[in-house]
Amino acid sequence: MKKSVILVILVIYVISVVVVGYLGIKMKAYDEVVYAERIAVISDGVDVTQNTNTQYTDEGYPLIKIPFDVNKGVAVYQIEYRIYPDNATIKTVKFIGDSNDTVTLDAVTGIVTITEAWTSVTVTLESNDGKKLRTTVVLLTIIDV
Amino acid sequence: MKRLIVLAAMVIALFSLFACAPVTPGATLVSMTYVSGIDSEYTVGSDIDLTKVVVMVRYSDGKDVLVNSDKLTFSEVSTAKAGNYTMTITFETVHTEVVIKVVEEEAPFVITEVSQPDFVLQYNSNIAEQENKEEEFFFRNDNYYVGSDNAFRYNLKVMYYNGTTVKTLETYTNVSKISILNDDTYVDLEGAELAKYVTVDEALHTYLFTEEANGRSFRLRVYPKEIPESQADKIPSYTKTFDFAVIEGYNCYTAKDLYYLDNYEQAWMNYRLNLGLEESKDIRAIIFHSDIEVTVDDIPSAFLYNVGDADVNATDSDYDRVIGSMRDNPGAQIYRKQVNGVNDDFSFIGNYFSWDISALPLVVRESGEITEVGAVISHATLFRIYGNETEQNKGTAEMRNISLIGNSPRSENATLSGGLIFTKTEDIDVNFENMITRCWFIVYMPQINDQGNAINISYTKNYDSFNCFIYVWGHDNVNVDSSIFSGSGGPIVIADHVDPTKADNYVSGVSFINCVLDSWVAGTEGWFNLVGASAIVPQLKAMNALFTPFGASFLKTDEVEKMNFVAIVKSGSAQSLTTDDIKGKVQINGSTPLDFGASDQVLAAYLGAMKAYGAPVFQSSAGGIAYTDGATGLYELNLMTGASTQIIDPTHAVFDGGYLNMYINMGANTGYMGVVLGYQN
Repeated sequence: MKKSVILVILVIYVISVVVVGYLGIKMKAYDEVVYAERIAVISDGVDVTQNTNTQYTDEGYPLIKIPFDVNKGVAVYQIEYRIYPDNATIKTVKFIGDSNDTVTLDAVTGIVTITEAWTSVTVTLESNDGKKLRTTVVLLTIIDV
Repeated sequence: MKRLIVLAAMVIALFSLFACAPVTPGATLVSMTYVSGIDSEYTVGSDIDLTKVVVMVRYSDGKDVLVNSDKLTFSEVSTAKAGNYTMTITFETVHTEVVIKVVEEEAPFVITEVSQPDFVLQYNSNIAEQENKEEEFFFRNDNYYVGSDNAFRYNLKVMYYNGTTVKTLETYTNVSKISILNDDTYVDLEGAELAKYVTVDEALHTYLFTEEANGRSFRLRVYPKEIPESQADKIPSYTKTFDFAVIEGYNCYTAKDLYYLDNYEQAWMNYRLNLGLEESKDIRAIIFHSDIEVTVDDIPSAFLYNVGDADVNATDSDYDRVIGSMRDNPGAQIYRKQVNGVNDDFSFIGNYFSWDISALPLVVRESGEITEVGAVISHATLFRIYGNETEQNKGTAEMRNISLIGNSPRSENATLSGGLIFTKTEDIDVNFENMITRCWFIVYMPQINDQGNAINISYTKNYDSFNCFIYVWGHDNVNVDSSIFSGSGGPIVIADHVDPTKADNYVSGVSFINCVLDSWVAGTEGWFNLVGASAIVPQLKAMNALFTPFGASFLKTDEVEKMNFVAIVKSGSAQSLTTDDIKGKVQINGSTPLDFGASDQVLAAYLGAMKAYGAPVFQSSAGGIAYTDGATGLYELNLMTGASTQIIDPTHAVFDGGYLNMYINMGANTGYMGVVLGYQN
């Protein structure tokens, strides 16, 4: 065999080893369920617990103040979140809180509608993967932020 | 004297005349001084009323003149944002500056939120329709139960704003109204009638129901007494309502309340005494009122390996792993409920909450012996229910409306084989109903049946188990109905013939009706390596080639080849596969069972004939039977002549049915074990 052919074979072999090692190709027998490990509530694009300006209630829950529109008589807020790790099998949560005359919480979308100023609602986000991982925030309507 | 008074009056008059004296013509403005009319502070968003502003201007002749706002001009000041702002007030050629202070609206003590207790919100969430159906109970409309053994707590969440943040009103008083359900109508209870059923402590928010209340339903309406007068109109909105039924039982709010679940282990008796609790309590029901998580802080340390324990030495090869790990004694469990007497019953009512032990440590030493990492087969059990083994027990136990979260999901990580078994049962009828389980090493383990008892598992959803969902240890009457089993690392069921050396000793039997049986495994999962079953998987899979030419298969390809591993029936003499002759039964939807020929003499004959050759025998759930020589195909056996005929007809019953029973052995003249696989045809 020509030396050039041997050389090509060797090069291809080495490249294969590098490529496989780099890409980490591995046949997994099955997809293990990856459960949520953390639920981060996002406000103004930032994890509220990473924001040094975040205030907390006396129970240690992040407090999110939302402006109450006096003219419209309502405040509407969408609770945003992120599930970690990124490869969690189920990346949605349910929203748990008490709805009443002035507070409406959508358990699926996390949209909170409050029709009165100086009204708070405590909302717990719970993972939908069966392990019931939770995090809690408190929303408070104030007049002008 | 008279002269002095007149003189003083003349001076005052003269001064007055001088003050009001017109400004000297030609005199010029010199300065301005603010006098009044501006508030000390304004709240954000409010208007600044300048109509009452008064200033004093001084002229060059020394005269001061008051000037009203209608002659003044004012610089613009916005109250949009809190802060101190300068306003310039101008009169002709003079001006002065004043500071306008703008502040956030100061909230007086104001209740911002009165919501249901956390347990009610969680309960409502748990019984709701779920986005993930794996989390949704089959039945979501059972009563909410409250026990009468100890107080029921109903703590509203009352929040107020203190100007900076939201705070919890720690001390408040309930204002309660309790009604009893008579037929279809709630009737308010007061005075003696109220006392007949319940003792109320409004300050502590507790309701202790009497025996008289057992079996009755009630409605509780509560609001906090401390609502300020200014918010009195919100009392209807702040009044929370809750309906429930009262039964004899012990209310549990945290793991601490489970101290009385065990009525057998000395470790628990000592633990309770050390905490100043009663040594034991006769409890007929445990009732959950929240999701309860159990950690090592909630159980006696005797269940764990601790520094200084007599069976642990610093020189042990596993010392760094064993300290803090769960003890694994085959006969032990964390909670054991002994249901002793005739007609003695026990109920475990979850109220749709969860019992979460995922934080408990794994077993590192199997049966107390130093064990290689990843080689542990755990026996550690969370909850064991026992009847009375010395006399016929007529009592029953039930567990329902609960979600159970373990510490051992299906995984290639073999260390998770040290996870907990959820429950073992013995010598008692037990009904498990309307439950959801996840991440257990094994979920249900019914054990030897000397008393003719039945284990009934119905309307349960079971997911993600490391080993299997049901491990039957010599119990011949396990009935599974309308349940889902999905995603175990091994088979869904393992059924052991506990002692094959004694023919009918503790044979296992399981029946499935109307169930989803779904455990697709490749054979490389942790369980297979653990029990030494990896070696036979290739042989099993290879046999699929005998069926595929006829349009049938027990494999599917999904990145890798997988089989739906429903059941294995084997000898209990070892934790791995053996060569013992065994008995046992697995039946699905009343179809042809895997039972080693106990109900089918033809199958029994096949097994008897083929044993000498070590040849696998197959029977479909449709009843068709075949054997194979492992090489050339599937054959029927003429039991009269002993002749074999190769099966070439694709309509043969062995290719029909939803399940395929396989009888395989480890070689010529060794006992058969049974395997049930899902079948596609």
